[in-house]
Amino acid sequence: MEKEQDDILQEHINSDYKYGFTTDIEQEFAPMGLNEDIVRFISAKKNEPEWMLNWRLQAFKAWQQMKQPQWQNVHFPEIDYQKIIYYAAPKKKKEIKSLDDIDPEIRETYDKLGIPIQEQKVLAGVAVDYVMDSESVITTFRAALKEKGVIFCSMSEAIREHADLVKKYLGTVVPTRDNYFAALNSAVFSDGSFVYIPKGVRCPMELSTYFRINAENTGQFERTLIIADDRSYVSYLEGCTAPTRDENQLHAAVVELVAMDSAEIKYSTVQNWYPGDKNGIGGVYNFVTKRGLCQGDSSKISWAQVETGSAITWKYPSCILKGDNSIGEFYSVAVTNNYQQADTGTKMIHIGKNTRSRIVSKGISAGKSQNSYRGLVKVAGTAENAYNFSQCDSLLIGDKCGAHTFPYLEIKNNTGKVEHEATTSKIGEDLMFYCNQRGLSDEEAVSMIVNGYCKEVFKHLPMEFAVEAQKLLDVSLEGSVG
Amino acid sequence: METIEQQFKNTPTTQLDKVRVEAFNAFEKLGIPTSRVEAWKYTNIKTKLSKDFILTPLESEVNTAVKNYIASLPPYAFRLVFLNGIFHQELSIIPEIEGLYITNLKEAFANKSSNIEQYFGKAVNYNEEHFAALNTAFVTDGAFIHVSKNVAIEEPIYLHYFFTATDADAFVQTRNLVVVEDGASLQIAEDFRNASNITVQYNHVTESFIGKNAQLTLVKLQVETKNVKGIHSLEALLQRDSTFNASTITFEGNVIRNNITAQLLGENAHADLSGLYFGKENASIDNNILVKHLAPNCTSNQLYKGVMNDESVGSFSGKIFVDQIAQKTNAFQSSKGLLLSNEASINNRPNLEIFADDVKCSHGAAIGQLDENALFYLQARGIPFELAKQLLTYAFVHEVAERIQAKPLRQFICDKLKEELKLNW
Amino acid sequence: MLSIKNLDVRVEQKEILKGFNLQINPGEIHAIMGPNGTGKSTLASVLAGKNEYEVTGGEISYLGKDLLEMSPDERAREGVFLAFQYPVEIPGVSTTNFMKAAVNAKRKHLGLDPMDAKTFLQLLNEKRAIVELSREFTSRSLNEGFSGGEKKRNEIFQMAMLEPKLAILDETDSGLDIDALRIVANGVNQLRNKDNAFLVITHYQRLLNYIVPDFVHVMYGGRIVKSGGKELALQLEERGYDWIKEEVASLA
Repeated sequence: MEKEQDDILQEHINSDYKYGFTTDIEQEFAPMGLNEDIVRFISAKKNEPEWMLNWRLQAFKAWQQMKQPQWQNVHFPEIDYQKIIYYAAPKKKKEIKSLDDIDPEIRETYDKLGIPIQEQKVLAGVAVDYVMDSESVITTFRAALKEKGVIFCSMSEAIREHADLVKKYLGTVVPTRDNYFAALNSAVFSDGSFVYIPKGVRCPMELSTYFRINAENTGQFERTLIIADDRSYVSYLEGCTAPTRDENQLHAAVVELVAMDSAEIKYSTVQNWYPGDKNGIGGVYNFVTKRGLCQGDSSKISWAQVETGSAITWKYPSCILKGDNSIGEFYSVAVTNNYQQADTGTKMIHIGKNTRSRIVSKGISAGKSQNSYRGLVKVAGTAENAYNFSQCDSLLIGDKCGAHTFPYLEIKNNTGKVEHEATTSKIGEDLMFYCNQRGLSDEEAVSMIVNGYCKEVFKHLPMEFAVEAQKLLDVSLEGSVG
Repeated sequence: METIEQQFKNTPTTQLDKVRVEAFNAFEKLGIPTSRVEAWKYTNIKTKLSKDFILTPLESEVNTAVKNYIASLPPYAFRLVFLNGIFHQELSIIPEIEGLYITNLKEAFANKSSNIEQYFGKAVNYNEEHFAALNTAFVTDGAFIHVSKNVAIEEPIYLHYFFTATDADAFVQTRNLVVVEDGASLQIAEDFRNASNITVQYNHVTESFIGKNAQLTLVKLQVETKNVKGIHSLEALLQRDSTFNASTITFEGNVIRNNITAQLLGENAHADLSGLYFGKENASIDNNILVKHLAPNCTSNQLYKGVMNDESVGSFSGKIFVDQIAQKTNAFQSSKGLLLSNEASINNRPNLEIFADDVKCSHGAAIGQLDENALFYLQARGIPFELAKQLLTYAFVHEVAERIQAKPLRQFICDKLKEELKLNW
Repeated sequence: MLSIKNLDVRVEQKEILKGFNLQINPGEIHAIMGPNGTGKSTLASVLAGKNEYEVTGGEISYLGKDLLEMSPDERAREGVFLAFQYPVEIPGVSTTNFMKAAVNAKRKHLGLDPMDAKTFLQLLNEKRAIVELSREFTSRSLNEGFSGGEKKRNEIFQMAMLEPKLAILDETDSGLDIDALRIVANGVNQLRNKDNAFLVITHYQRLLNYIVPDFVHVMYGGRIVKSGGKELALQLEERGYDWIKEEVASLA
């Protein structure tokens, strides 16, 4: 009897991560390990100009002199950077000119992920860039975007075709030496998305990149650069999944956003990298540097993220509020279950006058997971009349998990106002019993309570993403109560 | 320092010596922290202390400033006076009361009174805390207070620390050891005063042991502490049903650092920590609080308020730690700061580390300036702008002063507040 | 409908119910009264299936099934409703969405499709009128910031939405002013029919002026020590519980 129950339970738990399949496609790889030759190899593979190679080599030299940071509230065995493959790409049979040219295996992969690569997406008004392992597969709706002057393409293409823009902005928001993983990314990044919205243009559709790690022993190092010129607007969505593997995979991305005068960038993420199994075996190490620069006056950058995946998440999407009257926002739901660890939050750096920022962070810990919020609100002496409000709530499910809050408020101007509130609570027996008494099962009750708790963040996600996020949350928390 | 070092090279014979040798070894490893050490991020203490500080006790001298001050004091029941970290018998008043044992630490060391070995170095974490290690190794003197089971001491005990140093490199190491047995209660006021014309440096530790159902109230006064670089560590171990109240009042100081750790070891213990601080000139005032909930059904409360003027820097780091077994914890923390000058700054780190699920924890932090609506309201009632500001500042910090139970102390602090804010009513 | 026989219940090693018996038939309203600490609320919680209560003896049969074998949510979907003495708050979840989840959970259990949005809203409006709750209440987070009276009215509203077979009101009247009491009682009276039954647990006879019970039981020391018609409630109001305690003592 017990054995049978165990089996059912096992099956149930294994079914949790439904994106855990691998795609059997022909791929080409760089040799394992990292040295200058690998950096040259990647650059050559991408037909990069000399300046780009030099940029990478400089970053690589910087990285070699840096040490992996230890201050985060996460624990994991040392990473052997020589046991990682830094470049993997689906082997191209021929130049992809239209959607029909895409390898059917890859198409199927994205179909399984529920994001069919087809023009039908136009109905949803989303243009998508698909990145598998290191290579951008295809970017849809380019023509429609081109009409408005919007550039939405893979990073490699941008380096070749829009060198002036890339040269001007790459590494300006996240310098190569910013931190250990940013330096690593700068040296070996293989692809990612590039977006440029010209002056006065409101991007006619939501732009989206879907990241997928497929190959074994491979690190994914994508690089995203979004530039919104004066008075422009763009909403960008990012989704990620990875196959179920026993080993830990490293994902070290860098995202840079630049908003010029009165421009607005909305960046939404649903991060669902493989979290590892219920015993904490496998899963993606997600060490990401995301930062936005509100360069222009009255510009706005808004981050919204739903983090349910990864064995370890370590990321702090930040805003540097340089322009006067600029606005930064951060809305986050981070869920950890089983042995997941998350140390995530944001930085709001107020430099310009009348800058405003808002932080809403909702952490949910279940199983044996550890969930930390870490955030910095810094008001420089120049930031007259700055205002920040932060709300950081933690919800605990079960008594084996942990929820931690580490805010830093550093205020050097006396005309501003900074307010921070945080609470920690739990889904208690009384609440569960009440819901049960209305006919809801434990899982239905948890799902409902959690969604209510996260509502404030969900409402800042694009509709389609919000629905996906809610479903993800349910899956992530399955089996966490009772 | 060499001669003292020599002292530690000898094989320790007593338990006390053993602890001090251990602490000495720990300090040799730890050293003075830089601002790269997370806990010292906002006070770069290494650059603030004199490079070649002297740990040998200095000759004590009762100067006019001390005499005048003592003469001005109301008649206390209890008073222990220390000059440059050394007990001064003549200036002290220690009446004999049954169930209360008071002596100076040096004396207690010498005659091993009241099982001092059981307590000395048992509340501080000298293996990790830089200044606790230094103090444990080099402490010169301090108060040893022991209250027996179920004895309630009504009158507060005043501990006066005067600094009359003539050498700016002196780094005075003082320490109090307070034991409140089961069911007993005690109030203490620690008062630190710079009675010299130069900058003084000291490192003060208070270890307190609070028995079951016992109560300890401790008020720390850093009032006449101009030109002071003072590091304070207050450690409290709370047994079940006990209560610990600590208030830290800082009006002056060049570099003031207050570490407080309260460990709630037994069920239904309660810790109430509050503080108010005024920063002036280029003062750096840094409060660092850790409340560890290590048993179920405990409550804790932190309330800190700071007013920063001129180029002063105020920092607050407060952590609520809740162990996995500490279910039904109720912990609250509030830290608020007022910036009255554009060159002043405030750093705030209100941390929560929660490992139990059935808890209610919250913290709130706010930094800003006086409410313009309130200012306007007062002005509209004919109150001049400056006075309105003073009134509202008083209202802002008054909440902390209100919490002090001992009436004369509370009155003293409120008066001092008014004086500070130039309010004459 | 409900048959409780010789029920013994413990909480943390303490016996609360001792040999408790009660029979309820469709169409009946039973009131249970009694001094504090006699196990009235325990009875309500046990019927709804709260797990900290340990049933050490006896049986409960509900519509021919063993109630004790069912989980709390199964019981609810089978038509057992408990109006809580202390309703909980759920931030971010509106009463409307909460009810939608509950109604559809029940429909799924009965093999029905989820109710379509239009029908649901119609039902919502209709039932809301019964307890005189404004539209705004159902769109607010469940019970968050509600007054005591509003919370209790919300309980009756939920009862109306879920149309239970057996409704247990656990001190729903405590702390209510006369207007709220009238509204709550009206709600119950409108929902009353020949197929459902009510178990009304109360401290005060006052409620029974509005909800007229068929039977009044007095609970003392973990069991029913006296039963009668509605006049028994009046007697209790007049004479208190001491005479009952004396009766029990003289029998022992």
